[in-house]
Amino acid sequence: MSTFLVLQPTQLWMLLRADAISIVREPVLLVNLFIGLTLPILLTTFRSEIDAYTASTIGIDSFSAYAVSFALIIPAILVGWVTGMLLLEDRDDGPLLALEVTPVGKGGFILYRSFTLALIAFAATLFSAHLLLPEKPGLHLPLAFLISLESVLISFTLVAIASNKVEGMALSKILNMLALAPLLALFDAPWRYFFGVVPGFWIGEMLYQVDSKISLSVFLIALVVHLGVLLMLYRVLIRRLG
Amino acid sequence: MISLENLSYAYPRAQTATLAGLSLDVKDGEIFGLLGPSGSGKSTTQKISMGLLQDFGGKALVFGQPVGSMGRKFFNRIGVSFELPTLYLRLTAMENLKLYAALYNGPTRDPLELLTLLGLEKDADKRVSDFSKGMKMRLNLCRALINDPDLLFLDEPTTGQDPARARLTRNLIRQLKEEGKTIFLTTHNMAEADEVCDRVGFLVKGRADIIDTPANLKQKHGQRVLEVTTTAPTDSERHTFPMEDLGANKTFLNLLQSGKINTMHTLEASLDDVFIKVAGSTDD
Repeated sequence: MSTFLVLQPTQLWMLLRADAISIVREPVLLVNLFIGLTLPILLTTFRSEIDAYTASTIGIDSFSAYAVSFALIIPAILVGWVTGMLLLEDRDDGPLLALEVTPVGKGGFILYRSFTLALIAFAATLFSAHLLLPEKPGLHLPLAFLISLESVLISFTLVAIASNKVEGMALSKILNMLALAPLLALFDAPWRYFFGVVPGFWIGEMLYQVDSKISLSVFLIALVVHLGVLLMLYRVLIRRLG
Repeated sequence: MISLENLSYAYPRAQTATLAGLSLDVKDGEIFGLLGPSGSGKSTTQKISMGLLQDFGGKALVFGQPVGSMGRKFFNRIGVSFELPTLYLRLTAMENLKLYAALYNGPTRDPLELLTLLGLEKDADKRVSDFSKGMKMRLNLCRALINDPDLLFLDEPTTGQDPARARLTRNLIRQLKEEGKTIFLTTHNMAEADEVCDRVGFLVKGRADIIDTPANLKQKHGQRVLEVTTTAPTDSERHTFPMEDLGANKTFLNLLQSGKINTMHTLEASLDDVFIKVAGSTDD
């Protein structure tokens, strides 16, 4: 919460306002946010229809059960992508340089962006989990926490790898594949832990392998993996942001 | 206000040092111009003075304190206009200034007043993405002034501006000096430096060994000669006279009385001449 101690309420409000205006005035960002946040609602609403359709066409009976992890994680990924694109713009168009010579500083600004993103992703995941996993209430908070870190990972990856906005758009297609990472945990064999370096794997591990009663050890491993990757990406990001 | 002593700096993986023993002072309330070829280290010097680059050698004091020792509150007292626009393109000019104003902890200036100073008041509600480069640069300057700073760093402040707008900007820079602000400016534009700077320094090979007022530099590097052109029957003729004992020079006095004089001016160097003389041998 340090960013909210660094920033005064007016500063926080003005930064949030500027980001909201930037998103509203760029249809691509707005549409991505909209899609991300409506997907869990659509899956919940049309669950039986989707299952019936996939059963008749591809022979999978409860497709929606597998799609839950995707629908759960996609809002966070898209919010992370939107934030990453905003950060790329801030770097390419120059505001980040101007922010560096204000009392808030580049570090304060990145903290603001990360915390705000994590909070939005946390709330979105909590909402999605409430819709998609009513039978596993014990998982809602830990999943929301991990997936909020996942969203920060996405935004950091975008800025750490992409040299400009065009590359950022191209990279988004690869990053969206990360929404499938939890499905790796469906392999019911010990070798599936080779995928343990992929943070999203642990989301699947919590969803598919752990019963409704939360396994603290799995959560702790997931947390360490997420934080480790986050720290690594943060270092690259700081280097890329000059 | 700024005191740099024996400053040295080399960028990572660079083969040569950008700064190698640079020393200069910027006094309170003056406009100091740092001039030099591209890549000579002008922006690097400014960045060190702003506390944006660490790991430099030598001593850098700003407001009498070592750079970086004041923490982030240091930025409440400085304003920076970078060489390139640093603005939120999807926000309007007014939204940009209000946002940046909110990021400072002290009192700030009225955004509309600043926009008016730089002739942008009618474009206050226009998105910055629709601005020309010159307009963005003027808005950049408004942004740098929003916190009413004591010390201003201006990097090529009139880049991309037409002559009329560039004059408006130069007038504002002089007005800021009258208000007591200190201005540390870098530019390629020698005419601009000549017009607005109290003192200039030429940064060559990482050092600024020549620092003086533009007037002194022009005199030192020019000729003490008066050039007179006269109307001749077929073409104009050019005569030069040494400035020493000019009042007793009979040829000159005869020319004065002849009524044939077209133009008459001293041949002091321009700041361009001084620049070429001092930095001309340096490859960009």
